[in-house]
Amino acid sequence: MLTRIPPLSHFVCRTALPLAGAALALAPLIGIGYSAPEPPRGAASAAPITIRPLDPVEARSVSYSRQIHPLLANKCVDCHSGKDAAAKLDLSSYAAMVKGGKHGPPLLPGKPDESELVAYVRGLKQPRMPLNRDPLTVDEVHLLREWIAAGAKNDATGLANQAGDADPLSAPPDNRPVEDESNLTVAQIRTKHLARLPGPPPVPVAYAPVYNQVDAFIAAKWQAKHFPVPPLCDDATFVRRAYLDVIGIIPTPQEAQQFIADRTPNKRTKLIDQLLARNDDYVANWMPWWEEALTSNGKHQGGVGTRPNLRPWLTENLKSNRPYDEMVAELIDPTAPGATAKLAANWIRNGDHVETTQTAANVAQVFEGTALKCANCHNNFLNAEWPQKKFLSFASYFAPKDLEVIRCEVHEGEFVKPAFIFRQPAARQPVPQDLNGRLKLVSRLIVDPENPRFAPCIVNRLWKRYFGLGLVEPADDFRADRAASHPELLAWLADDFMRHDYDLKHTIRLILTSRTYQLKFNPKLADTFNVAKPDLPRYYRSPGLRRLAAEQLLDSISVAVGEPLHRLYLEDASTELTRALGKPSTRNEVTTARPGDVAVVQALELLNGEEFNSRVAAGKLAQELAQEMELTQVISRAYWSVLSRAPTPAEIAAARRFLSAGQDTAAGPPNTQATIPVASAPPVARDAVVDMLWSLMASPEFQYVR
Amino acid sequence: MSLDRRSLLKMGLTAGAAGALDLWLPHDAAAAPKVSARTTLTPGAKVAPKVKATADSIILIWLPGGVAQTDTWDPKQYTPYVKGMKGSQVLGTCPSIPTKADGIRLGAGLENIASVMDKGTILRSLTNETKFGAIHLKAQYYMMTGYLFPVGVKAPSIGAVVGRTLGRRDPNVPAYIDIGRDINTSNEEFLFINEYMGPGFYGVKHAPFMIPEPAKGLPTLSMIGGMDVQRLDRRQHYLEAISGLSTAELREANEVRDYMKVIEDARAMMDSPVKKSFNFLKDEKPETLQAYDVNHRFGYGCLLARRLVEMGARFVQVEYQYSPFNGFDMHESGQPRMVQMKKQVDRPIARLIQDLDERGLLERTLVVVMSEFGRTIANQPSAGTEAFGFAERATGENLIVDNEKMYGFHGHFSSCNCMLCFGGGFKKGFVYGKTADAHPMLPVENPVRLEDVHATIYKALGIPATTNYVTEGRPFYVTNNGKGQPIDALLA
Repeated sequence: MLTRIPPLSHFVCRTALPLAGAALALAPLIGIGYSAPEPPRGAASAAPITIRPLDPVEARSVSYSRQIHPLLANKCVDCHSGKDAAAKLDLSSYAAMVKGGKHGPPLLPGKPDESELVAYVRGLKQPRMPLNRDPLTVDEVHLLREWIAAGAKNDATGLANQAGDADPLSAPPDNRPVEDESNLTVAQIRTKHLARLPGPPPVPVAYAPVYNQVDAFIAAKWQAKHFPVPPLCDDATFVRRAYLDVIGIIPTPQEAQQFIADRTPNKRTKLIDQLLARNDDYVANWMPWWEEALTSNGKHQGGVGTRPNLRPWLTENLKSNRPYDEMVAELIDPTAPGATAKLAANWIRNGDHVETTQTAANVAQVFEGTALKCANCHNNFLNAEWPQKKFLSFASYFAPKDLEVIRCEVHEGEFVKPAFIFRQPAARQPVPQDLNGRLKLVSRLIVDPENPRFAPCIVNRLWKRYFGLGLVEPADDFRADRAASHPELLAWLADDFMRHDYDLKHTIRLILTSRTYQLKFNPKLADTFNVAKPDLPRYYRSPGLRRLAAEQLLDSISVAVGEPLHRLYLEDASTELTRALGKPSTRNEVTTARPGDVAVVQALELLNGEEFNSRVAAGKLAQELAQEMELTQVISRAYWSVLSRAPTPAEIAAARRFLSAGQDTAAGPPNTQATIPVASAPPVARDAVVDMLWSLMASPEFQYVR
Repeated sequence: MSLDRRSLLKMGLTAGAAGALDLWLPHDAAAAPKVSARTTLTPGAKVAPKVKATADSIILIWLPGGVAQTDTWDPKQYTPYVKGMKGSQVLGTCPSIPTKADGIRLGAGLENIASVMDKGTILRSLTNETKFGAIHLKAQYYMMTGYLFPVGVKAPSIGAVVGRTLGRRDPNVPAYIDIGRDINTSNEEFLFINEYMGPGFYGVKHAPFMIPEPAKGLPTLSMIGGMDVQRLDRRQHYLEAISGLSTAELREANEVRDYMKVIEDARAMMDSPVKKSFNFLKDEKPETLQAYDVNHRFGYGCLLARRLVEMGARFVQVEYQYSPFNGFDMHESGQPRMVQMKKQVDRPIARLIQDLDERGLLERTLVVVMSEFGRTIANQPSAGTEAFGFAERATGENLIVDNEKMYGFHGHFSSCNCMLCFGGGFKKGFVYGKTADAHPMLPVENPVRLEDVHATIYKALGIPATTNYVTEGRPFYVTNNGKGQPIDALLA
């Protein structure tokens, strides 16, 4: 197939070249008919930018980390950063900026209009900055002046300073000898580097009931807010929640009843252990998430697939609960010797610039929760942590040779040497010249215990899966300037995970046996995440309400109606129903979350879709209920089969009215006192049974896990 | 019937579902687009000016496979088949015909469209830097989303952009409807097409309502076999009843309220007049049906699109379903097959324009006709045997056309593509761009980039090119990287 495509940017790209650049790019193709490109905008400067009067009160609210840093990152650091910073002025971090450049410090705290920074961006001093680009707006200049007027303070947190300055291109020299670790296995490196880690943060003392360390961290935050301790969910809720979360299906009535009747005090922990041991079901429940995160698509892509089919590899490794660091290293390192290495072959793709940078961005997103796609083509406007060169220096590990800087589709003739994104000691190892050597090295650096994001990223994903919201949100966008909701808990979980040999099931078990996981759902207490206000605190006093994934929903229907369970994830076919429920028809792009949206197409599929309705009516349940003599038995069995619990008296009354054939009685307020005689022949027609099951399966209680 | 049902509901059976009656509130306040991401990065920056819409609805006629522009919208000199002629001598496989617009000519076989050409614009110089080679699907992906595959996120298609940004025009008519594509997953290519001809990362809320067979309508708007209205009502009542009886926590959760609201919404759509659109075989005059009937569902698809727009649809896509080596994807016998294909699309498209115009709808309805790329002279009549880049630069100088199968435009041509735009604020009887008269027939005047075409279509609909929606913490623009610049020359 002729698939080679010249490298082009795919990402948000709004910097330097709108029309003029476009015309240039087209010119060779067109030949004639195109007018000469305009000179770069802003080259000849106009009048100085006007200023507005300062408001000292307003000025105090200007934030370096939230406003000034992004502004500088957006407008200035392309040139003013790194070793070759223009005028030796580095604006990429607060510390470097304050230090100043060739002309001394660029700002005088308290004196905005005497600060050089302001003079240059206003055009009072030439050349007007940003050079050859649109000038700052009046509002932007005003913001800068206010910040300087209020003292030009750095309000970034300690965390931000620490990682924000971790620029490998300008990292201070580390004088310790470099240790060659190329002959060590992942496990050997793990042991060696773990020994160097400082250890987990202390577990706080909490006055709330604590099942394990997780709860102590969560309760400490409640305590600070004087929140009352929230109650646990009941057993029926718990058994359904645990089944869906661990194995992706609801319990059978027998399983649910047995659990509820069990009087053993530690039965919830026992249940989690039993479910985690159901390996095939555990794998089935994880598979869609991993396949979408890794774009496992293999054969079914009509010649345009982006990555190989990883299902066999995932199955083997999740089933054996292989250490997560070894798994990931195997995916990246083509020389990995593991038994399943063959099954992971070709996931890394680097045939051209686009493939290489996408591979690098995918690795960073999925395994380090670090959003680098923007930096693929230009400095990340939204996160100063990621100038483009820093990204490319990371991506160069994935390439047979150093990558060229191609900024917004323009080749700049500059090549970037590999440099890892974090400043861990192992990252100082010399970079091999061959591709396999580079990939092997970068695989080790990714899974390195000293990598500050690898373990936190996965434990955060696990947390998010079971609570609905991560300790870090968005889970794909860890950033230096935004703290986790519970930073110590995240650090502790990551440390514990690493010290248990990156054992996924260990951490899952820890989370699921915590008291926090067993809390009752309460919409008034449940946390929300708002992109516009990412710093709103989260408390985990209630789990979130989570829509069942398409696979969970349809597999659970099979369980409820007593059909043999044929897991949906094994099905490559895509139907209107599965798509409406959010199962993608292909997996070409990395996605780590399915939108939990409700939509009319979905509702129509439930109301009138052939597939949903035939799934409800299939199996032995409808048949058996239609033969059942006792009306209360029909109702009870239907509730146990679908909702894993007994019906309440009000629900029995409503169901009785509904099932009493021939009468349009579903309407009207429920009346538990109603005495409706029980029929003496099988009382319910099959259609009515099917309709009742449909209503139960279309009910929010079935469609969501709480 | 449904009124009864609702009044019963109001009697308090389902206190928790009371909110379900507020059907037409916007579902999601966050659905409002953010205009111009750059301005969101720094506080106090100005918001891009609002674009004034000249169209309320859009019908996108999608003719995938690669329409040979020289036989249709951009005719060149007719060079009849002569055994042994050089490829470079094949300029046009049909004569050109005059149209109702002065000075505009089309390829023969498009007499009906010629008769309405005074109502629209032909763009003849759409060009791509990226040469898609043999891969139709990547070119289609690009055309539909404005982004090159793989993008890094799931890019939404034009219909999803319009549907999400403008929402429903009539509360009971879906905003994004797709007519004429099978819900077919037997084939790898169809699975992929389903991914990009859809909502992308916008999610299922902005997915198209699929109508594979125009005469059958939207299947899920009708009850399944064995169901009747009473029964449907009964079980929906019961669903609302049990939902109302569930725990207070569940009833009060926003997710549950939204969920129940959407079920009501779907039901209201079922009960609404929108379904009448599907009854065209009964409602329309035989003469009208005949005008649209081309023995392929595409014809009635155009008729249904008109009826849906009359009913209040926002975005309707009518496809001539893509299938490799079928439809407009022709690699041998290009000449006779083009004759066939023109027959299939000429009458329905022309009649659609005429109908909309007669009903006074064309002013505010934009009709766009497009394909993923144009065609040029290829070295071989069959696919997959050409050298890299396919035939983009081929002049046909070295090709001997020694049999009639080779006579036609077989080569994929990303360098030039044509597009038609009728109504909705576009100029009337107008041509934009010019291409060379000899191979390779590259644009020689006013070459146009895809993002600018998208920006122009969006401008007509009142959507700024920098409109974006956030995914993974970053803005994703409706035109490629937000760079699209509307081509004002195309607009009246």
